[in-house]
Amino acid sequence: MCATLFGSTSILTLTAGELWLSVGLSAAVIAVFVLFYNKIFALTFDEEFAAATGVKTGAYNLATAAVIAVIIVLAMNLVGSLLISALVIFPALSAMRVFRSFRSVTVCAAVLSVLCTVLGILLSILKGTPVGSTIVAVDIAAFALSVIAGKLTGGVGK
Amino acid sequence: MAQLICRNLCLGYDGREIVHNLNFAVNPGDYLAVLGENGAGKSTLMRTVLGLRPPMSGEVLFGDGTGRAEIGYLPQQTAVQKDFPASVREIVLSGFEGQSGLRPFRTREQKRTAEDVMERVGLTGLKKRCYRELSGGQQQRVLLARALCAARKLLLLDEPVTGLDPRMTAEMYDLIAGLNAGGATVIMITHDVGAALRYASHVLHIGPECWFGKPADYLSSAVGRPFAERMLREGSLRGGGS
Repeated sequence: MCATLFGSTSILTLTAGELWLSVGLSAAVIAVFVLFYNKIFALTFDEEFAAATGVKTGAYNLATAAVIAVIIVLAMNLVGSLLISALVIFPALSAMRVFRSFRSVTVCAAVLSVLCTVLGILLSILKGTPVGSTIVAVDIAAFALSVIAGKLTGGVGK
Repeated sequence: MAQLICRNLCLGYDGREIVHNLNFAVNPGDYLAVLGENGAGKSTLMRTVLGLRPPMSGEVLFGDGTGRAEIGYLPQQTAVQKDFPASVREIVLSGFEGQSGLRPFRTREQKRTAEDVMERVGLTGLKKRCYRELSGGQQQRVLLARALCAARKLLLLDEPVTGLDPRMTAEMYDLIAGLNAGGATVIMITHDVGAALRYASHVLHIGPECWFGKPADYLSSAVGRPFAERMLREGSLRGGGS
């Protein structure tokens, strides 16, 4: 029960099987994202235009939903269902403060997410705090830093 | 061979018909101006032609090898979220998506065409800028560039000069006229009767009574004359419209 809400405390003691499953699924998700990058951009930026100009939006929406579902289920093992939204949203928000193009935002968000997760896990080992909350706390700190960075570099958005 | 044929088209919402039995055809190279009151059904017609909503009855037929992937579209109000991170170049390139099938990357030719289009629309200096930082007129030009990349045979524009200043409005009309002269078929919804009569090869009036024909005949038609007179008068009262 607690594990579902807050993430498994045994994240630091994954079995080899679980580890390789995660690696495999991650590789698959990245591959799908890279291959369908332009389609994903067209669909999320302006689905109506995509449909009007001949993109098969129904099929791609279904595929995107399936991939997102896989990611969420994987990540829920780490941070639990209460904090999963924060894990997904904060790196993207941080990246959007600083970068201007879709490509740079997605790459930055992915890198930032991994860095914050690693840092969060290390901190939680050192301090004995719950893993999920620590990761999200690091994400929030990163967001605060990116707001400052954004203001310093002239930022993005009105 | 007609590119677009609408046959006995009836459009409406919730069982209420707003356009009855519409029949018209668009041939390659035509410049069709769609006129009518607000709420008459012009945008509804365009969205029906694009397949974004079904007609109440009747059919929309494409000929001359024109399919969805040959059409470019500039919507009146964009469905784009205000905070979406995207550079101008990325948005313009996304116009090629419908033509690209399963290919994950853009071809060199498509990238060159995009650069060309952006220069024609005056966006070269803004290529790397974020879409959400731009002014309304600049955003409009970005979406026009995207539509141009998508339009291989047919360009559909829904009030392309709304919110543009007079200078940009004139530039936009010149740009569209140039494209039409270069062989692109244009269908444009507009409130600017003057521009419609000046540039278009055909006029379609949408309302309780629809009318289709040449601009010269429009002014003398029962439907066109009162509408045109009122719009032109309002335009000059407002201080020069177009």
